[in-house]
Amino acid sequence: MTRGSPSPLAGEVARSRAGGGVCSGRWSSGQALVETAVTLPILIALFFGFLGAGVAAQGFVDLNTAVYLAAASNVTAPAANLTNPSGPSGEALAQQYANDTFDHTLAHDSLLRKISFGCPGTLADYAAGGTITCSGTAVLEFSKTPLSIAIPFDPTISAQARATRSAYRSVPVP
Amino acid sequence: MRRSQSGQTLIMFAITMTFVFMALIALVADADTLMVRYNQVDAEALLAAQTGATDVDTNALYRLPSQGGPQYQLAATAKRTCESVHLNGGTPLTHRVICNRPTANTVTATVSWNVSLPIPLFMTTATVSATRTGQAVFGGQQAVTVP
Repeated sequence: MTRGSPSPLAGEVARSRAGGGVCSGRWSSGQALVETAVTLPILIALFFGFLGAGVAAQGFVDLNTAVYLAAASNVTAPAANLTNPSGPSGEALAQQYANDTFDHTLAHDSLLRKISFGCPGTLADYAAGGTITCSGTAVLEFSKTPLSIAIPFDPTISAQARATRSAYRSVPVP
Repeated sequence: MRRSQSGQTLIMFAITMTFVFMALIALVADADTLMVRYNQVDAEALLAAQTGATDVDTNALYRLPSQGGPQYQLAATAKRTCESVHLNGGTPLTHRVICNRPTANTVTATVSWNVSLPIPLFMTTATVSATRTGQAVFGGQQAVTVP
């Protein structure tokens, strides 16, 4: 080996470094795959989480609307059932008004399943000027949607509304 | 020099994305909360207006024509009746109803709620408000034609 001529070993080192580049490229492609595999589930979970939060908020809104409309319907029912004396009493009629309103309003949201609804109260609460409290509970069925991948349970939600009956309720003319 | 700079972009990207995702999560949670609360104050305003609208002035309603009757209007207590509506959640300072009578036979209810946000990233509270107006109602039959 003469001084000035390049060393074959140096050439090997240089090739090895160049080879290292090839090796680095291969490693990079693997890195991208691993990074994608790690971040993609997180991004999908975030996406489904956002969607789930929106669906849950809509469920709360629908249940709340159904309970408030039902309470309003209850207090506007006639004081007595004079059109059908053999039918339900004034209180039962008010309950029926509220139940029908709640069921039909809730039916607009196909993800809500009714658990319970009622406007319990004494006869004084059902008298003119009385105040009635209605409560409704429903299950938000995420299991019916693809969101169940990220949200593997169906939460139970509830709402409450209080309405005051008119002091001057009249009855329908038979 | 090169070795000391490698990985800089990764760290900057990670920090930036952390803030972006935190902001997104806060935005979604806060927006959903405000949507639910707005719906609630809207329903409460509707009930308050409806309650106030049932407080009919029966003395004016049954007044004889010779005495200037019958008059279809709300009683003087309609505002108080409207404000007696029960509000769910909050405190009397943050969640309140204010009613007034713009005309003799209508009552307007405004319910406002200073809502605490679940993730106070941009602000800690936000106010939602809804206004509804009700016209005097009396049972199933109307006594006189409303002008």
